[in-house]
Amino acid sequence: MGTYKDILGAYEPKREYLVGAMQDIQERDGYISPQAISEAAEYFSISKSDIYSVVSFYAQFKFRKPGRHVIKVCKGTACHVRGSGSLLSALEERLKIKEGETTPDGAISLERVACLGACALAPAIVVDDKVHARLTLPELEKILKELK
Amino acid sequence: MSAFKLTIDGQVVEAEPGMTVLQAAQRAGIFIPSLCDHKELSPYGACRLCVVEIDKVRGTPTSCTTPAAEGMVVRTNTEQLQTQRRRTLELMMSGHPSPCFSCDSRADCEVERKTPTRSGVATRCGTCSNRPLCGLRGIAMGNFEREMDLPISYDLSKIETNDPFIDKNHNLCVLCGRCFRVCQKIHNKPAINIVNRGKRAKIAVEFEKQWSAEECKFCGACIDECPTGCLTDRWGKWFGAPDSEDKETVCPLCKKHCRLKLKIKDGKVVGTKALSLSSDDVLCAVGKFVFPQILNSAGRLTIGRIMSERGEQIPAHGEALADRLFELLEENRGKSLIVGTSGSYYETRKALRAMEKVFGAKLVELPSDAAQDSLPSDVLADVEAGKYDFIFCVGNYLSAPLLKKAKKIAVADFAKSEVQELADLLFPMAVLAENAGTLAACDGSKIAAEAAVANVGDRRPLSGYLADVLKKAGLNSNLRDFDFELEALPAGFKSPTLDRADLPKMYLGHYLSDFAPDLLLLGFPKSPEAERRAAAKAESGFEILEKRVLAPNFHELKVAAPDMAKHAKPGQFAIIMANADSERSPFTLADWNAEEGWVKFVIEELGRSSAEIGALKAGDKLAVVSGPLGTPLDLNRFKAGSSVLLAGGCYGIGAIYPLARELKARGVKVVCAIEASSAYMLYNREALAGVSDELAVLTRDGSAGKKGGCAGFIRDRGADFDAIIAIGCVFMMGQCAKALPEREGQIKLCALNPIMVDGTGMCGACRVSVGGQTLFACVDGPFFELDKVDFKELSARRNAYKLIEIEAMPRHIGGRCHS
Repeated sequence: MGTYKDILGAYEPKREYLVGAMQDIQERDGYISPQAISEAAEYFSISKSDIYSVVSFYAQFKFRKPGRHVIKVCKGTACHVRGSGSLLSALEERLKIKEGETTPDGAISLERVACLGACALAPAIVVDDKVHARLTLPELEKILKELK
Repeated sequence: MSAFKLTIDGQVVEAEPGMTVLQAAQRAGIFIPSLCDHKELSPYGACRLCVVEIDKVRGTPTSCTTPAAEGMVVRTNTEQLQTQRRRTLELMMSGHPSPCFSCDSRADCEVERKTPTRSGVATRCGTCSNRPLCGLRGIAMGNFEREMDLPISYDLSKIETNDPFIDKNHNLCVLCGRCFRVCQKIHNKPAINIVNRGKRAKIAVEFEKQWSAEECKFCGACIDECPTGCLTDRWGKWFGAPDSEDKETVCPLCKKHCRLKLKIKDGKVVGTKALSLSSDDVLCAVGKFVFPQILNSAGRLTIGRIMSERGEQIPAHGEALADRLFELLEENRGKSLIVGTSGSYYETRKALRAMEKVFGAKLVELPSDAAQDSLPSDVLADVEAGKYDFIFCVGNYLSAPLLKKAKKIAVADFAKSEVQELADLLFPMAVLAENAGTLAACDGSKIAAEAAVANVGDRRPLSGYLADVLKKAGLNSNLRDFDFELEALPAGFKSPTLDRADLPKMYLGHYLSDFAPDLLLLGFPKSPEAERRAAAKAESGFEILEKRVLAPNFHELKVAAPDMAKHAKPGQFAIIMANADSERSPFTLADWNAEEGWVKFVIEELGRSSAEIGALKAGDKLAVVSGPLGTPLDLNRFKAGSSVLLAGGCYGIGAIYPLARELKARGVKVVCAIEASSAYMLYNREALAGVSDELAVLTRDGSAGKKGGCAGFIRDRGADFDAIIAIGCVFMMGQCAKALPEREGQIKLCALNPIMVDGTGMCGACRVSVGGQTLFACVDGPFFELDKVDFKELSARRNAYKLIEIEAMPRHIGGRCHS
C-alpha cells in the first residue's frame, strides 16, 4: 500500500475535501485502512475519530480489504420476490462466509446491495462489475467455477 | 443591541441578544426538557426533546438551536409537542434498558431499594449507578406512562469494560453528543466521536478500538457530562449524587500542581472535577481517577505505632508519637538522616529544614515520584556504611535492607508498606485533600491547597506533627528562619494532561497502581508486593473449569471440587472467596457431577464479592470454595404424583434447576416459573424446560413470555400446587409470600442466603426471623417457610450494610478485578 501522500496531496488540507480524498483512497485500495485514517488525520489536522466518524457514516466505505473478486447480490424488491434470497444463501453456503465477509484466501467478497436498478432483469447479481441477469442456481455454480 | 421581549407560553419574557429560545425560557423559569444542551457547549440539537412551536415558523424547531428574537410567540407544551416528545423518548427507550418504567412493582421496589443495586453493568434503572443523577429518567418519569410499542434493541454486546477507569454501556447512550463535544472543546481534536449510523451508531474511537489504544487522555470530563449511565467512573459511580462539588484544592501528585474541584459525599472525596471545561483546567488521569482512590484506599494507614522494648509495635496516638520522634532525634543528635520530599507542602519542608538544623541531622529531599532507594550516591554510600544510627523517612522511599543499616527507624506515611513492620515509630499521615498547605505554582509563587475532608483514626497533617516535635525542641511555630524559595516548574516539564506517557507513576515511594490497579492497563509498573500476591494466588485454590456469561451480570462457573460434588444435595450452598482476603459469600449449588468432580454456581454480580468472582475467567482459581453447607431440601416431603411450583428470579433461575431435576426424577409434576426484568436477562430456559413439565416465562416489561412476575403467577395458579418453592432476591420472595393462596397442607418454602461469615452457625450474621423464632440461614436453612419469614426485617438487615458495601466496591481492570 505504502503511502497516501499522492492522493491526499491532490487536495487542499481543508476539512471539506475529506470525503473526496477518502473516496479516492477507497477507489485505489478498495478499502480504508487504519494507516489511511492516520495519514489523513495528520494531513487535514483533524482527529482520527473525527475522520472515522465521517467515513463510517457512509455504507459505501469499507474497512476491510476486499477479495480479488466481488459478488454483489441484489436484495431489492423485484430481486427479492424472484428469489435472490436463495441465491445469497447458496453463495454463503458455497463460499462458507456470510454476506459482508471475504473468503480466508482473499479470493471472493460477498456483498448484499439494496437495488441495482435492474429490476427487469431480476434476480440479478454483479460479479466484478459484470451484471448477471435472471440468474438460476445452476448458472450461479458456473460463475463460481469460472472465478476459482 | 439591547434586551428585547418575546412571549413564551403567554408570558412576556425578556431576553439578551445571542440567547436561544431555550435559554430565554430557562431564565424566565419556564421548563423545557432537554438532554444534549450544555451551558458550556455550543448548541447541538441532537436529543430533540426541547422542541417548541413558534408563530410563523414552520414545524417544531429545537429551542436550543433557535435564536430568540424580538416579538416571537413561543409555545412549549402543547398537546402536539407532548406527543412528539413522548415518541422521541420512546425511540430512545427502545434502545435504552427500560424495564423499570413499565414494571408494575417499580414503586414498591424503589421504596425497598432506595439506592440502585451495585451490579456489574446497568441492565435497568434499578441496577444503574446513574439513577440518582439521570437526566433521561427525570424527563421520562414525567412523560412515559404508556407501554412500549417498539421492539427492544439493547443487548450484551454494547457493554464495554475493557478500558481503564471508564465503564461504557452503549445501551444507555442516547447519542446526545455531549461527551465528544466536551472532548473537542478541551482537547481540540476529540479522541472520541459518534461512529457508524442508525442503530449501530455509538460513541467510540476510530475502528471502535479500546480508548486506551488511542489518543484518549482519560481526563474523565466526558463522564462528568454524560446525562445517562453510559459513561461512568468505574470506581466512584456507586456513591450517588455528591453533597457538594464546589470545594477546591490543589493536586500534589506531580509538579504541575493543578487546581481541581472535589466531589464530596458523606465527608468523603468520591471524585474530582476540572474547574471548567477548558484546556487550561483539564485534569490528567491521575488527578481525575487516582486522587480519590488514594484517599479511599483500603491500603491507607490509620493507626500510629511505637515499638516497645520487647520488640512489639504497640498502637500509639497523638502526643506519644511526637514525644517518641523527639526522643529519637535527640538521642541520635548528629547521627540522623531525614528523607523528605520536594512534593510535600511548604510547611512540612520548612519543618524538616528546622529539624535538620536543630538536631544536627542530614536532610535529603527526593522528588515526589522518585523510585525506592534513589538517594544521592554520597548519601546512599553513607547509609550503607552505617553512618546513620537513626533514619526518619517520610513515605516509602527506602527499602528494608537500607533501613536496617540504621539502629532506629521512624516512618511517616499515608499508606501501608512492608518496611513499616521494622519501624520503631510509625506515624499515619493525612494526604491530599485531608490536609491544607502551600505548594508552588508554575512560576514558583505560593498557592494554597485547602483541606476538604476530616481525618480518620490517628491520621494528622505531617506539618502539624513536626511542629509539635519542634516545639519540644523550643522552636515556635512560625519557623521564619527557615523560609526558602519554592521551585518554579522546570523548563522541560512535560504535562501529563497532554501525554499519558508523562503521568506520574509513583508518589512518596508508593506505586500508584497499588491504589488504582486500572493504571496497569496504561502500562504502569506493578509494585513488587502486588507481583508477589498475584503469584501466590496462582499457586493454590479451586480451578474454574468453565465460565459463561448467561445474561448481563449473571455468570455460570464450573469449578473443580471433587469432594463437594460427591456429597452435594439439592438446595445446599457453598461459601466462595475469590481471593484470600475476600468476603465469604454463600452461593447456591446450581449443578454438580460426582463422577467428573465438578460443581456449578450461578453468580449474580451485585457487590464487591460477586464482582470479584465475576471478573475471573476459566483457568483462574478461587481461593476458597467450602461446602456443601446448609440443610438440603427434604425430597421425601414431595410424593410421586404430587405437583410442585418452582419460582425462580435472578440467580434463582439457576438455583431451581437441581431441585427441578431431582423432583422430576422422583415422579413429581414440576412446573417452573421464571421471572426477569427483560427478555435479555433470561437464561437457562432450555435446561429448565428439559427438567420440568411446564415452564412459564415472565418478564417485568413483557418483552418475553407474560408481563409480570412470579408473584402474579402464584396469585393466578398457586392454589393448584401441592408445594411452592420460591428462590430469588428478597424483594421477589417477599412478593411471592404475599401472593400465596390459602390452601391447607401446602408446602411453602423459600431459600435464603443472606450475608454470612463462617457458614457454620457461629457468627449469627445470617439470622432471620421465621414465625417469631430466630433462626440461622447457614445451618437451619437455606429453606424456610415462605409464609412465615419476616421479609421486612430481612430487607432492613441487608440495607444496613449499604454504605460499607459501596466503599468496598472493587476496582476492576479490563473486567477483571484486582483489588
